[in-house]
Parts: sequence; structure tokens; C-alpha cells
Amino acid sequence: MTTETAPAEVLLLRREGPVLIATMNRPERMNALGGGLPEALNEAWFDFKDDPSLRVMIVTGAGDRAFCAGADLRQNDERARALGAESAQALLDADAYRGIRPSFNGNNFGLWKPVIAAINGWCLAGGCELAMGCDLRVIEEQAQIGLPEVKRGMGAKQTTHKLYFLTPLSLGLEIVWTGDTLIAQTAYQLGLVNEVVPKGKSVERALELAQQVCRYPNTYLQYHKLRVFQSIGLPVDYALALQQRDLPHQSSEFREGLQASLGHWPPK
Amino acid sequence: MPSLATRHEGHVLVIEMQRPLLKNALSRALQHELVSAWQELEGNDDLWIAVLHGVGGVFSVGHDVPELARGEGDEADPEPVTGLFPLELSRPVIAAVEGPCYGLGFELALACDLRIAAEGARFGFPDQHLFTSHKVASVLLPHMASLGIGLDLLFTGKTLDARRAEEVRLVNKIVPEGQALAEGVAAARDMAQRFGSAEAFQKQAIWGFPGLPLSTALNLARRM
Repeated sequence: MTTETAPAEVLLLRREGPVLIATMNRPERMNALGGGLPEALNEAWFDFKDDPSLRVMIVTGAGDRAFCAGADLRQNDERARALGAESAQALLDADAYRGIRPSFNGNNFGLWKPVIAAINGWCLAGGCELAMGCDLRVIEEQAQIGLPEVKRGMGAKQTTHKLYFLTPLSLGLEIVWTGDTLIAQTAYQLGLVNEVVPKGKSVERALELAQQVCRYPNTYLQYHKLRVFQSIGLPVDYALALQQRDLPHQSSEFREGLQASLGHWPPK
Repeated sequence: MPSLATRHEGHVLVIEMQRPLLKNALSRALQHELVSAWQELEGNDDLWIAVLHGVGGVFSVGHDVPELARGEGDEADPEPVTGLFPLELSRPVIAAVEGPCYGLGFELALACDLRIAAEGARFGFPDQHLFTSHKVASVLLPHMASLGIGLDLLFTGKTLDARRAEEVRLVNKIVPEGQALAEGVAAARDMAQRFGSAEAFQKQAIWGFPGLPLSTALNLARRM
């Protein structure tokens, strides 16, 4: 295990074998997306994507208050004033801001490796979108998740599209239009998160899940992530008929896995 | 010896997988017998709906791994037999699930139209050494449950109990242990009585809706 620190130290990167743990490290600002954090997240995302020795990434927040509170509105206001704009909304609309949204804010179609959000506290607005952009979500029991933008007169804009693949449409609309945050248990019941764990345990549990994921060969993970992401939003019959190359059972690991499977077959 | 039995109850075809010692593992032979059962269903004007069940308190643990391991040619191929999944049928199929419903067996249950599960049923892909493609589940899980639930089941080997499966919309109804088949048949008989023909279910039309742009779906619906 080696410990390294991103240039700006707003994102701490730690490796656990094939797992990369990225910790957003602006606890004094509830890990808000500013101060170089979006850029650092982007860089880490690309490094993870391109490093064959890394297979799963975990994203979490430093401290015990927040996973991520979304865009750094205070910083945005300062920058907006500097740009001569009157509000943070104007900045959100500015082209200059668009380029530094974290890449895995739902737009991870080019990445077949699983990303897990370990939600250790408040998970709001852009932070919620970041978590929804991940493949799996583990949330601590005291954490809350939501899109409160509407309560500040700002619409949630970035990747709320992901929400509608995580909950039925009516619930998604309720979340976006009321801005009410959900307690962990409610998010779990809706299927918005995969597991609820005790306070302080989200990274530990995410790491266990990551290690389970790592038991599969790359071909298995790649095949299924591509198939899932290619088929969502398509008519079912069309999606079922899609053909893919590199079937998992054609991999060199298949026969070996079969022997291991025999050892504990049939499953209980 | 056949590993599947069918019987008629009024307009309902009851299909039972019968390999209790091997937990209704889907051998190549059993898969072919299922395809024949679907043909029996589609080919008989008096059969409007089917219930699929496994004997011995197990729905199915999925692939017959010992057969795959020792098999040659066709029997060594983990790709499901063509026509195994009842998605293309015109008749609805109810899966009546007791106990483990894993792997290819889970995919088979997902490809049915409705799922009745007994307390004690479990769903998922727990065999983390069996690197097969879950082609059907990858498409259906995001539609039925959610993107996140689908990825979790596919990536972690986690299984869901009946309650959680119901909560995330993978199961329509939970019944006491041992009651899945009886409840499934009762539901099927009731549906047959209400609809009065196989065509009335409009199964293919309904399956054509998910994933369509809303405007296209509305136009289609107007012509139904």
C-alpha cells in the first residue's frame, strides 16, 4: 500500500492493490467542488481509466460531515463577481465552468471499470450527481442525499438524467422539484443506493465490495458494464438483440473458474 | 428421464422443472425441454398462460456446472439454448419461485412476465467463479429495478432476499413458503378467466413499450 497525494492535496489518492480510493479533501468546505477539486477528480478518473493495474475506484469525502456538498457556491460567487456576473447562476451558465465538471458525473460510458461511491455524509446537488454517476453507492446511516438546488433558485442541471435510471420517473421528479433531501434508509428503499452501513463504515464496506468485484476477470466486468450502458434507454427487444464481442466465457479464465465453481456446487 | 413435466389446469399450462437433487440446474437437456414446453404453450389454442416452477423448494440454481465442466461440444457451451427465454411468446408466463433462483435460473425468472416469490426465495448471481454472460439480466434489470441495483447484482455476486427483491420491484408478490406454485396457478387461472383468450393479454405490444420515446409509445398505443 502506498500513499500519495494529488498536487493540490484537495484530492487524496490511496491504492489498495487494484483499488484506487479517492478522498475529496476540502472538509472545511464540505468537500465542495471548487478549489481545484473538480480538476483533480478528472485527472484521477483518467489515470484510473488508463492504468491497467487499477480495476475499481472508490470515491469518498474527508471528515465526518460531508461526502460532497456540490459546487462551491462561495467560490463561484467570488469568481462571478470577478467576471462581472451578478450571481453564481450566471457562472454556472458560463462556458468557462463547464469544462471542469468531474468526468464521472454520469458520463462514464467510455469506462468499463466499476466506480463505487462511499457516501460518508451530506451528499448534495453536484455531490449527489457525482454519487449517481458512480456505478454503486454505499451510504452511511446518518448521511442524507438530495438535489436541493431548487431551494436556492437554481435548477439541478448536470447529470440528473442518471436519476431517472435509478428511480421511477415520478420519484425522480419529486426529488428534483421539491429539493427535499432523503435520509439514507429512504434512499435505500427507493433503490437509489445499494447499501446502508453504520457511521464511519462506508469506505470499509466499499472496499469489501471492490474486492468482490475484483474476483471477476476484466472480460466479465467489461462485457456487463457495456451491455448495461448500451441497452438502457433502448426498446427491450432491440437491446436484447444487440450482439457483443468478447463474451466472458471465451476468456482464458473461464475453464479455470469452472473448476473452482465445481468445488462448491451446487450453491446453497 | 425427462427433467420437466407439464400439465394443463384449465387454460393454464403448469411447467415444473424436476431435477430436485441437482437443484433444478439448467442442463442442456432441461433447456431443450423448456423450449418444447413454450412450443406446447404457443401451439395450443386452449392454453393462454403458463406458470413456471421448480420442485424441491428450489426454482433453479442456474447452469449445470458439472455438465459444463465435463461436457463436450454443445454441452460445454454456456450460452443458453435458443428460445429458452419466454420473452418472444405471445402468452404471459408467471414464475413461481421458491428458494434459490440463481444465475441462468434468475435470468429465466426475469424473462417471465410476473414473479411470485415465497418467503425464503433468493435472487442473484452468487457463483463468482462462473464467468458467463448475463445477456438478458443486463438488459432487464435496469428496466425492472434500476441501473444501480442491476450493476450491483452483476458486479458483486450479491443475492437479494424476497423482501428486498420486492422492494426494488423484481418481485410482484410475496407469499408464505411453499405457496408459490399454488398462488401462481391461482393468479394465472384468474387472469385467464378475466382475459378470455391468449391474444387479449397483448403481451408483445406491452413489451414493446419500455425504452420507447413517449411520443412513439403514445402513437403505438392509439393503434392498439
